Amino acid sequence: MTKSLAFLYSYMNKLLGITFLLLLTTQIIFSQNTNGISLNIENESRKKALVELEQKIDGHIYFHENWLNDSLVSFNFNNSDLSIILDKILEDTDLNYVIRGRKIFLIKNSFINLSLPDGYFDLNGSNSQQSNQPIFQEEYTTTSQVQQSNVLTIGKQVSGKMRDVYTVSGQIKDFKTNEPISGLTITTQDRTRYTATDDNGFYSFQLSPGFHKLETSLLGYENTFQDVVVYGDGILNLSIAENAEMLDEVLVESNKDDNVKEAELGVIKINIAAIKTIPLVLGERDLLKVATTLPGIKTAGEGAAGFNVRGGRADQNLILLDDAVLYTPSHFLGFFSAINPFTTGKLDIYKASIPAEYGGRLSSVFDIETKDGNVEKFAGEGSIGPITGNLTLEVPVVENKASLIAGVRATYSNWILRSLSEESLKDSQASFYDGILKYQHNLNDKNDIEATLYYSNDKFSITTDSVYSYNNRLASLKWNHDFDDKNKGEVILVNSQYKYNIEYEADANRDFDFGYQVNESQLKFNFKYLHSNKHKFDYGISSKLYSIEPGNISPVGNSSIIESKSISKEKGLESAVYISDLFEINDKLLFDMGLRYSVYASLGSSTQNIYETGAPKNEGSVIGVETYDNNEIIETYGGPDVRFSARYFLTPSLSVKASYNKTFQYIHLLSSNTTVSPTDTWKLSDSNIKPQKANQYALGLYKNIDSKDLEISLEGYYKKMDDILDYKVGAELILNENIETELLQGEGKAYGVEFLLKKKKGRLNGYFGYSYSRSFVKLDSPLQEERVNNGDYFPANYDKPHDFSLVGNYKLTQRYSISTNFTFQTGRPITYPVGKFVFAGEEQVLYSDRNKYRIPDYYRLDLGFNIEGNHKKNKLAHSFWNISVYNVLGRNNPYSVFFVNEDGNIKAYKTSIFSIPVPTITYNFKF
Amino acid sequence: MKMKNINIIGLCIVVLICYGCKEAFELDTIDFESVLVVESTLSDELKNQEIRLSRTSTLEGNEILVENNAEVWVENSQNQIYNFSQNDDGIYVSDTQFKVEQDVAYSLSVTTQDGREYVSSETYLAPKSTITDLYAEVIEQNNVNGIQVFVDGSDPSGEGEYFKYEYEETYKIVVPNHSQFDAKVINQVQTAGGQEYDIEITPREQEERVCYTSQSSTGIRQTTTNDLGMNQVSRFPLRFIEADNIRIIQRYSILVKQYTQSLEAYTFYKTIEDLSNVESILSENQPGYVAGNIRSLQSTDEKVLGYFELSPVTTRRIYFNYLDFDLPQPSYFYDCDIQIYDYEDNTAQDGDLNERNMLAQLLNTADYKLISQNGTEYRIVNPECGDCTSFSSNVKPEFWED
Repeated sequence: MTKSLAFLYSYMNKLLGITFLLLLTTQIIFSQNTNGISLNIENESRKKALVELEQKIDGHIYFHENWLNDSLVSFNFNNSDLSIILDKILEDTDLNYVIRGRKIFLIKNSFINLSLPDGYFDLNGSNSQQSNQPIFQEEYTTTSQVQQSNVLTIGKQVSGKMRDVYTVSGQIKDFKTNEPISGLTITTQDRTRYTATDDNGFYSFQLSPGFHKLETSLLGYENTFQDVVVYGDGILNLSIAENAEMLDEVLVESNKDDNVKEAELGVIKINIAAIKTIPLVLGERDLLKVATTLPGIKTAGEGAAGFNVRGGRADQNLILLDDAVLYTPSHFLGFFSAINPFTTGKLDIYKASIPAEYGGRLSSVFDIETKDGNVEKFAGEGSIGPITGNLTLEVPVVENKASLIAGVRATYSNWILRSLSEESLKDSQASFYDGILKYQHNLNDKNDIEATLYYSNDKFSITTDSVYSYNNRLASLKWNHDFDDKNKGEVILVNSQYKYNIEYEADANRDFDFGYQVNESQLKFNFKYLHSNKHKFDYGISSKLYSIEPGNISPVGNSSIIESKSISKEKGLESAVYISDLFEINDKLLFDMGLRYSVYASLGSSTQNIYETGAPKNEGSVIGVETYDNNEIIETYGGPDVRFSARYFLTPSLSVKASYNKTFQYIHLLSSNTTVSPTDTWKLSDSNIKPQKANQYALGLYKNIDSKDLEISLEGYYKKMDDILDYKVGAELILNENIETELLQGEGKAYGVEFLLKKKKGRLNGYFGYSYSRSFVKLDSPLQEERVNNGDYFPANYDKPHDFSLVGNYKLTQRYSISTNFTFQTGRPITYPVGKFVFAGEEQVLYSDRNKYRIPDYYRLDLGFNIEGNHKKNKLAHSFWNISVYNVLGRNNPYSVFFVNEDGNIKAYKTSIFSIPVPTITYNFKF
Repeated sequence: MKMKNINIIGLCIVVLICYGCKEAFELDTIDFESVLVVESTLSDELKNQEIRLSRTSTLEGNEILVENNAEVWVENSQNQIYNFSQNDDGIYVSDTQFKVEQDVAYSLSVTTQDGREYVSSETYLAPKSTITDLYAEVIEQNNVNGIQVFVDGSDPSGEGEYFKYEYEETYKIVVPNHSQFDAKVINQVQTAGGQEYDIEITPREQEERVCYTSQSSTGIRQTTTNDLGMNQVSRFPLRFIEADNIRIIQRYSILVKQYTQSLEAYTFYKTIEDLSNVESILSENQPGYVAGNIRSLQSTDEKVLGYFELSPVTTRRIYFNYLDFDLPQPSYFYDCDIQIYDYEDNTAQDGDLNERNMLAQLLNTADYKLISQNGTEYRIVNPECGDCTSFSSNVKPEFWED
């Protein structure tokens, strides 16, 4: 098997390295005069021949058995020189030898010069090119690299004149099917030499002697990197893994060297195919869950929708699915991601250096892109888990030009819940589904279009008296056009809608139906101008129209005393122009400079309260009411977003980066923090609610150790936020016509250090991330009513200083692998009751200062076991089993704690999502 | 592809789902904070004003911790000082009667027995309001028929937009099985043939047929005219009485006290109230410490719960009963257990109880009341049906109008 060959290679290279070191240390090599040797061999293996020779010479021959193939040799020497016999035995192998005393060392590839070449000390060097200059691996690679598996040697070094170029040829095969791959390009990393494989996977090209980094690329296959040292003509056969099929792929893949090379900081690129080895919960592969195992991205708790990126609020993330905003990227209270893992091509997360193209959120951008369908043949992928079934189909529409990809996912959990004998769960329901459809068409070499439709729906009841439902709908249309080699453009038109609804039917007189909706449409033009090697410009313009129905409630049933109420609609227009320049000052220094100017206008029709300045915003300080007609501008805000980052190479594999980012946000999420229900609403800035602003400074160090497939990064950041939203004590956020009276806008600050170590390949791969980060909020005001915790900084709801994740995957054999995921987080802050008292004849609770206490620390261990189907060729479908246990330790991680005054007594409740180990089995298939 | 044959669905069922688990748990105060709680609403009525001081207790605890032996006084901008002293109920009562005057600044000072000093910010009397109407109507609520008491209020000054309500209910009760006489067991002796005793019949000495029960409201009831755009409270639903409630069986009276509040005081009370009530899944709110207008002089970090407020009060009373609303008379709220026992029945061998024993037992230990006597036969009833002082007061309130 090719894999075991590769393994052998690595072993040999290790050995070689050691041998080499030994030789270099001893430095002295003797030539040995031996008497004539007679040896007759007939159809024996080389090993046998060497053993026989060893006996004749009364010495020792050192070699690695595996270096010798099984081919047989025949010869008959009489009174011959030892070197002649050795030459004969090693004929047609890539082995050389060194004779030292009575010891003979066989060496792979390397020819040991017994004397320094002529002109070696000739300083003008004029002759050196003609001489057979030795190629020491050390010249090109460090010793530590030699000991690693990834430097291959090509050809046998022969004593004699070295040519300018050698021919390297070979065949490239699919790692799994072992079929030759055609049309694969192989290039040297400097792109000076390249070739492509023919129909049978064969290739051939000329390389200069010495060290080369080779790279293969073909859509659908992993980009493979191979370091080689060329000694002579030789053969390099490679097996390349298909992108979506390999088990031992990197969990979180970044393009090799991007980590150190790009100017951006705080960028995470998640390879979708790779996450299939991460332990699952209830059989769901979840991209966003994977994201939260990386430093700097947190959730408030298990099953909490929304992410807190670098100390930012959950509303500060721009989550884009094919350029359209996905308001709620999760199913079932955040437990499952609403992103279909099979249709997703990539997920890029920007935590610090947000490209100037994006704006409108303070903390991050999650850019999710749906992959293109297969344009050649019909393909599909699916999975069957305990909760959901998932099927994705790829259909070529016009061969090699247009394709369709469609993915659907749905639960059958309702059926399971009903089958359970547990009475309390019988009446529950929980179901969701989502579907995505993407069409892409290459019209010609200058134009292509993409269109995506997405819909997700959730319906569940936690208590028997209420039914929650929410859904996301988005549509996206994109046209890419190349004007010429240097100019490209794209037009993007998107629309997203998020709605939720609560039906409450408990006691007859309070039954209601509550609805909320947010809708936005955006038109965006992006252009690229590749000015020169030094300057690459991106520029564009975009405009977005928001429309929000902040809530309406209507009674259900005749006896309900709930009065119909509807909060008037909100509208806003957010527009922006941007330009950025990727400016390469020299080989070491790269600037990515961007400027984005955004303008927001809050639009009527609306009535806005005018509050007395210097007085708390409440019903008593209203000094006037202003009425605005439809589309009349109520208030405008705007400002320049600055996006600046710089990279400097300290060494080719070590870089330092710094960035500064300023961002604005005009839409805010109102969410009560102890909530167990998804009753969060989005609110637009208006005359009484200012936009949020943030400034982030980041500094990072990045180191890649290619030979060990390691990527190390250390980033630190400091973020200052202004006008971030918080709530007064007792704030009521739903159905409040004067919501600004419940809101406070304060300052936030966050800082942290994030460490990430990734082992990208190998039998054992995975990553380890740790972050120490803090996030604080300050709500100060001269007015007591608008002051929280005495106006001091206090920990934000999602302040979890220590966050530790370990994701590992160990491949037992080609077909079996185990994976594990361990997470530890400091418990999140909570406002805790610290006592009770009697007021107006009733018992009341005294709460601590806001967020003074913390719920217990969160930790969880998951285990997964993956079984790959057999690798037979021409099988109908490739299959893959995953057995996972979520929360192996059975840790009862509290999600939230809340308190209710029941019949004059204070009762405390806690919620936890999964308090027991949850095993699941999922079956995946691909055809 | 053998694996495909495995019954996948069968495997799925193994999974037990515990989602959205909500469980109650024992409270455990992390770090108990003993905080002074001040309930101080002074009014413009000339009376002995009252202030309550207590302390927060642990969440596990059940006691009300009254703050004893504190020095409490109120002073105003005219340099008048009113000292308060603790009465038997632990309430601090002003040593003299006084009423809060308009346009005069008042402040409250408290020095607790451990020497800590607290002071309120200077406060003025809120504007005076009136109750324009107080009335009751039959409505249906929660599928229950009943009488709703509504308040209409107004604020002639145009300033007082925030109202807090308290009420005191009084209702008249007439026991259904009253007689003029009491029966008492005397000369009780135990003999071989069972027990023997005499029953002494005496006229009742006090009123035990008609009683009046009074109850004060608890909790915070507030409303604002702000939403309505005029300085009127209209149809504020103050109290709902089910149609079969004992309160309206004879005659019911409710005294409504309407306080006007400043916006700050209103907000304070409302926040306290909001935090304790989860009425609907839509009304979850941000918990936290609710700061009032009283602070510690020793430490700015120390929490003090309470609001020193000066609220003008207006009161109004109405009376009604079931007849006013054409409702059927509610049944008496206790089951009346009328028993007839014969003193001569001194055996349980005749197929029924030993009535002599039962009679003595009920009269002696269960306080049964006599209804009537016929020879050796006595009709008796449980005390709730024969003597209203067993659960209420026979003192007719001074205000009571029949």
